[in-house]
Amino acid sequence: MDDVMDLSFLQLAAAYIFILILIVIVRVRGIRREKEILLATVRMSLQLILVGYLLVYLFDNPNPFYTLGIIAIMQVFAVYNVYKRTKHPLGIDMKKHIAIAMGVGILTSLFFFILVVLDVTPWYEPRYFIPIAGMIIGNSMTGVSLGVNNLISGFDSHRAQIEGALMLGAAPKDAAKKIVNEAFDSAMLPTINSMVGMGIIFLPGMMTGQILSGTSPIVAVEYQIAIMLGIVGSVSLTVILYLQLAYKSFFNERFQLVKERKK
Amino acid sequence: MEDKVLRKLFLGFIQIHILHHAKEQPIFGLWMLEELKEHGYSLSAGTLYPILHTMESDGLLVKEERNVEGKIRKYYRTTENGNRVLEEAQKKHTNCSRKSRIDRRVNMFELKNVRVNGIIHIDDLTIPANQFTCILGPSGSGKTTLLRLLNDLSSPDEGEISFKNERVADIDPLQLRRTVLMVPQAPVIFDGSIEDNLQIGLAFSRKEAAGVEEMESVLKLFMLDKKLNDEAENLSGGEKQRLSWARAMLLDPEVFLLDEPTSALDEETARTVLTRFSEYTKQPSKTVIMITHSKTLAELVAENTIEMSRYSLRSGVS
Repeated sequence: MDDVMDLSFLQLAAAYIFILILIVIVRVRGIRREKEILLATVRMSLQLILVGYLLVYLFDNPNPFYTLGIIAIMQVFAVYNVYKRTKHPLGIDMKKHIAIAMGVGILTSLFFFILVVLDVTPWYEPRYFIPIAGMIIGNSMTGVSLGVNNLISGFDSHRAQIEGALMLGAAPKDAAKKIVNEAFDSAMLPTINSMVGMGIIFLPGMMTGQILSGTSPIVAVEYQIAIMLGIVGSVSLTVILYLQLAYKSFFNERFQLVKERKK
Repeated sequence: MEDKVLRKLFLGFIQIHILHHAKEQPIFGLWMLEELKEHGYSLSAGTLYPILHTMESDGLLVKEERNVEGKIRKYYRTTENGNRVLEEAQKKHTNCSRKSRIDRRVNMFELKNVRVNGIIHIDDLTIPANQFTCILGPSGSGKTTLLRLLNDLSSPDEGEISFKNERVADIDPLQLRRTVLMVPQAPVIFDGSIEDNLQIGLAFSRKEAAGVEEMESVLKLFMLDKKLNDEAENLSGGEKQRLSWARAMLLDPEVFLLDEPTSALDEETARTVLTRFSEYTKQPSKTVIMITHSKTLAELVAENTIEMSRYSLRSGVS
C-alpha cells in the first residue's frame, strides 16, 4: 500500500479541465445544461470529500453501531431513490413492498456475503462492510426500480390478457405470471449483461480501485468475482421478493384486476 | 331398413325437439345414436350425420315444434304406423312440457337494484337456468358490463347479484368463474401453439389436460382447420375468436357468458358455429348468456332475450 501514488492538489485540479471542456461544448452548441453540470460537479466533489472524512473517522473508530447506522442510512436513501425513479405514481402499498423487499433482500445477501463468503473479523469491520454494502445496495436499487417500472407498465399494457386469464378461472398468481416473469427478467438483465462484458469491455470499478491502490490483480479479481456473485444474488433476491409482494396489490379481494391501489 | 331407420330418426327427432325445452337430452346426435341402439339399430356417427344433414337441408330440422310436427305428419302419412309414432311422441311431449315448466322456474342469476355508475341501472332482472339467453342492445347500453358483473370481474356500485340463490359476493371468486365462464369479445391469445391455448384454461382451473382427440374434435366443431401445434399468434381475428370459444368449451362450465362470440366471423360461419354450439348446450344443465348485435343470430338460438338500452331493460321469452 506504501507505493500508492498520492495526487497533489494541483493534479486533482487539472482533472477539472474535463468539466471545463464539457461546459464549453454545451455553451457552443446552445444546450442549456451549464447549471446542472456545475451543480453535479460541485455535489460530487463535496459529497465524496465528506464521505472520505467520514470513512477515515469510521475506519479509525470501528464500532458495530456506526457500521449498522451507515447501512441503515444507505438503505433509506436507496429506497427513496427507487420511489423517485419510478415513472408511475406509487401507492402506499407499493412503497411498503419496495421497502420490505429491499430491506430483507439486501440485508440477507449482505450479511451472507460479509459473514460467510468473506468471513471478516470483526464482522462490523467498516473497511469491508461499507464499500461492499454500497455496491450491493446500489445494484439492488437499480434492479428494483427496473422491476417496479416493468411490473406497473406490464399490468397496464396487458390488462386484457390478465382479465382473459381470470375469466378462465385463473388465480391471480397464474394470471400475473407472465408479467411477473418479464419484470424479473428485465430487472436482472443489466446485471447479467455486466457479467458478460466484465474484464473485456470494461474493468469493474472495485477491481480497478484495488489495482490502483497496489493490490495484486489476482487478489483484486478474486474479490471482484465474489462481489459480482453477491450482487447477482442480492439483485435477484430483492427483485423476486418485491414482485411476489407487489403483484397481489393489482388484484382486490374478489380477485378482480384493479388499477394500483392507493390506500 | 332405410325407411325404418329414418322412422326411428324421426321419432328421436320429434322427441328431441320436444325435450329441447326440458333440457334433459345430451348432444342431439349422440342421444340419437344411443336411442337407435336401444331399438336394435347399430349406427355409426358417420352414417347418422349425413342423414341428419339431408334432413336439415330438406328443411325438416327447424326449430319450432309445430312446424316439425306438421312436417313429420306429412311424412308419416305416406308411411305405415305414422299415427302411432306421432301419438307416442305427443304423449312424451305432454310429460316433458310439464317437466319443463318446473325447470323454467329455476333462476340462475337474480339482480336487484344493481347500479354501475352511469352505465347500468337494473331494478330487477332474472336470468333463467338451462336456457339460451341473448342480450341485445346498442353499444354503450352496458351489455359487457352486465356480463362482467355476472363473472364477478367487476362488482356493482350498488345492489345485489345472486347466483343460484347465493350472493355472488359470498361465493369464492375462482369457483364462480370456473362455473360461470366468460369469453370476451376480443379473443385473448396466450403465447404458444393452438394446443397450448386450448390447454391453458384447463391448467388455470386446475383441471386435467385434454387429450389430442378431444382437442381435435373441438377444433372441428368450431370449423378450425388447423393443426394443434400451429402458432396461435398466426391465426386470423375470426380464428382467434373461435379458438378462444373452443377453449371455453373444453372447460365445460355450467354457464357460458359469451360477449359477441361471432363478431369477427362471416355470417355463414357464425350461423354454423352457433348452431353447433347451441346443440352442445342442449345437454343437461347448461346455461348460455350471449351478447349479440345480430337479431337473426338471436332468433336462431335464443330461448329468452334481454333487451338493454341506455335507459331501460326489457326481458322476455321468445
